[in-house]
Amino acid sequence: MQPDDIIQQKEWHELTTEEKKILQTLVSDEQEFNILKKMMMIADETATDVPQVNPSVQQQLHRSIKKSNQKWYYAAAAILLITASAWFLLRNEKDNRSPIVTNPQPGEIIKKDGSTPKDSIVPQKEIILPKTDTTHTAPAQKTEIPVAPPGPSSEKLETSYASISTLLKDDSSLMAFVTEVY
Amino acid sequence: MAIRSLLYQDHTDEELLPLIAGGSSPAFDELYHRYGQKMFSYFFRMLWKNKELAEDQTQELFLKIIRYAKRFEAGRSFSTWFYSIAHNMCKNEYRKEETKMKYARIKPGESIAGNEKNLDLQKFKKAVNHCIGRLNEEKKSLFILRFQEHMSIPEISTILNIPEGTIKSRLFYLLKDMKEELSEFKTIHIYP
Repeated sequence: MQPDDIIQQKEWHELTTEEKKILQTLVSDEQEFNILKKMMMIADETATDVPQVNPSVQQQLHRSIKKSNQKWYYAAAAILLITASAWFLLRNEKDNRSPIVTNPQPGEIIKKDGSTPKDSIVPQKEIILPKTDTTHTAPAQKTEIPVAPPGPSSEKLETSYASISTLLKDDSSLMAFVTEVY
Repeated sequence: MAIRSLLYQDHTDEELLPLIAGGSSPAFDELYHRYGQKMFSYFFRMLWKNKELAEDQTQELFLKIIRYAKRFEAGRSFSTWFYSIAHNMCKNEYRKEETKMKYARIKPGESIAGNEKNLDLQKFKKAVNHCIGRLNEEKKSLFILRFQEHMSIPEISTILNIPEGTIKSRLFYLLKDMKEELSEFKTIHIYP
């Protein structure tokens, strides 16, 4: 038992010989014993002489808890947003990876200078020759330049280019051009 | 308040902490109900009986609990952990010399005790308060934890992070010093 425990729990006349021995270095007589005993009693009494804590302390703490919860919600929302954005962007990038050449006219090969090679497949065009003197000559006739049948659909574009390459391989300048285009 | 009592009154302090870490307001309310006034009292007595400062420190203490609830080691006593944080906060306040001067509103010896018919007893109480007020942070903390919070030597040792033997030794010399300071009351009748 500690000296202060003995002083708090017992009166001087209740002390055993052993307890007095424990206390002898701290208190020499009954008066000193009583001084310390009373001091401890007053310390205990004054422990409750404390005002009440303001309720605003608890209210403020509640707001802090709410704020800390909100942070988690915002973080989760941010992660979802980033994930959705990344998925959307990646999807768009994939869609944009289209065939090498986009050609509005099937079968048409266009040189960089805007002209078309003579052997290229061109769409059907009507060429109307200028009118001549109708009195002496036959009336003007529409001359149609024979053209190749319409080119393959866009789905068969790759195979049609493959077949073109076999036709073009004899023309070295055209081959060079095609290589450059692709 | 009623809902808090029903849900968590049977939970131990250590069981409430993970719930508070998860953001549970009712669990926090229960913990505050148990320790709010207690910790305020501790700060009030330690920090020169300044109510505003004690409230600020109480709020700051519970904010630390909200923030660091996850760091609480399982198997440890919440009470001693809580008091050790409060003790360190008081230590920091004592280090701030300017704060000590600014908040020293209660003059040493001023008593807040009630009316006493025995004048000698009144004087004695004033002398005791004066004595406690003059203690340094280390001794005051030891005095409050032992004689007002009624903590055991092992608990105080954990809170103050001092070996038990040192606690016993310091307690002995504290009582001896206070007895010397109050020796003038040796012959005065201080019992009702």
